[in-house]
Amino acid sequence: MRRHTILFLVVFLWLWCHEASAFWGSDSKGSPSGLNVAAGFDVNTITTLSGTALAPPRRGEGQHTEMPVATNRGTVSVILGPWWYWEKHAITIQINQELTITGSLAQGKNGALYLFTQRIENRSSGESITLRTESGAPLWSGYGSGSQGGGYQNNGSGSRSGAGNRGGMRGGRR
Amino acid sequence: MSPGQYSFHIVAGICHHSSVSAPHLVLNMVKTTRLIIGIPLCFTLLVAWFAWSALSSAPKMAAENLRGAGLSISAAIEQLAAADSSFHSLVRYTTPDIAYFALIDQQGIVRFHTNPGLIGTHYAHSIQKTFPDGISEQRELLGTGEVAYLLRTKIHPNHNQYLLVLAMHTYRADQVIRRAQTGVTIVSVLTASLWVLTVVLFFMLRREEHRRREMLRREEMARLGEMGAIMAHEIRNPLAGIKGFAQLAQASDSLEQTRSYADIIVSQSLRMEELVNDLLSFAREDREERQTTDLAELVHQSVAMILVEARPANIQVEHEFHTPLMCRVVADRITQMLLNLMKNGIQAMPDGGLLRIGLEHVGKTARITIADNGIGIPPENLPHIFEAFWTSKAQGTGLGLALCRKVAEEHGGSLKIESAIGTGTTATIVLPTAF
Repeated sequence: MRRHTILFLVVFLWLWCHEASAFWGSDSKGSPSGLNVAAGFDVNTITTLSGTALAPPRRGEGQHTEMPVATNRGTVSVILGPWWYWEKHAITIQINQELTITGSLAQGKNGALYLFTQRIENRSSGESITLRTESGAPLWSGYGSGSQGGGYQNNGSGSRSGAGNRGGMRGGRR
Repeated sequence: MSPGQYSFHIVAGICHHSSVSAPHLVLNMVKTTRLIIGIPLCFTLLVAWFAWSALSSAPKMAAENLRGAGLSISAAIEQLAAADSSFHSLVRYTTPDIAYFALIDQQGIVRFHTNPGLIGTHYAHSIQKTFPDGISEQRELLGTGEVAYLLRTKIHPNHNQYLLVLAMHTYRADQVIRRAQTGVTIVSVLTASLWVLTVVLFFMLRREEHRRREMLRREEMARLGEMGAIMAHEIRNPLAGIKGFAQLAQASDSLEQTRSYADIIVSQSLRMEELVNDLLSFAREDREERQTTDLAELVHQSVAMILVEARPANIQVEHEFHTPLMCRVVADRITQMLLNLMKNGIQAMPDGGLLRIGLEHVGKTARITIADNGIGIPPENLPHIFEAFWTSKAQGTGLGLALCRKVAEEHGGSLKIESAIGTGTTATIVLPTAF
């Protein structure tokens, strides 16, 4: 009887603490943002932001290149694709340089804003680089630069209806 | 019952009186355990209820917050759309909570989108199925991995009907959920700490209880050995006398001499009988039913009985009690206690003296005092007078005062002895009254 009581208490406390510990991020899917850093992109949330680089690009979460940029929407973490791809095709970005970035904006579960870059232009140096197609397909994944075809939907939810290469709105329910 | 069992019963009774019994300790342990487990258990249940209610209400509150914000934004978009049928003014409309929004006409064409590249495209779903009657809301996983709040509703700018699809970030609205989770985390940690402390306390108490039980057992064994030695001594002396005088009587030719030996044998037998009676009285459990009895009558009877011993010893007995005083007592036991104390008083005055007996009603108690002006008890003996088998007399059993205190306590009362050398001794018995 005593053994069963102790066992019950241990299981109860474990379940309880497990539920509570979710808040501290122990249930995150491997990243503090909770976002799909490797392949995340949504055409619906494409926007263009201008701002100043707060730091040069560096290796961020999930081996992806990340750079903090001060914009009119606050500090945004700009995701620039895999580190190896950025090293290979990088443009020079230094601190305090003026940038214009187009990409898919998302808010992480930590409350921070992330921009999955489609195209980035360094207005200070005049350099620019395209990292994704107009539909959001990443160029490092074999779609090839300049390829505008395909109705790629980054979260694997299937083809999009609508305007061919530019994609369309997603529907459905979770 | 075998003789061995009988003697053990007496020993157990004496040990029971001298210290706390093992069953009593076990009962205390059970009560303590229940208390130690019960309080944290109640606290845990209370905290669990609080956590459950906080966690279950938080998502509803977050949903209501999102719905309120979504409807406000929808109203603002409808007004802007009504004011500008080209929807150009919507481009500048933004709030931190909007992930994106779009207006779709009844043909399923996207007429406005926060991503200008999607304007003019076809909406992904059948427009008939997606135009809700009121509002449609859900949480949806976006391609970025973000879970957004998606609201669909119809708006009617300038008598045209559009489907507004509004996606909102949920971080701010979900703050209420995170706060609830923080609260639950904190109380969970506190509760877990409480349980850890409880378990530690429980094991410490259990160890202490085992130690106490072991000490008690050793004390009982020591007392048993001591008592055995005393009993052997008390019985062996008269037994040796009986044996010796019986052998003399056996060898004697004179009838007169034989009678004298027989008297001594009877006297020694009576001494042994007295010892056995005292032991039985002392070991006896208080199982007799108490009767409402006039205590004054019992004291009066005891005084009458003791006068037989007091007068030859040149002792004057004074008593003062008139009022009937009703108490619930076992009359025989109380009489035995009073006689023991009065005999002690008489024995303390070998050259005669005064024995004063008093009975008074004090609050809800009856107070009996038995005072002598005898030799008194030396101060160094006072701490031992209630110990079983302790005696300062040559012929005493050492059970008299121990028995008196036991009787008083069995009745919910007390016995106190005050004494001074050369002045005398006063025994005060306090018993609860019946009314």
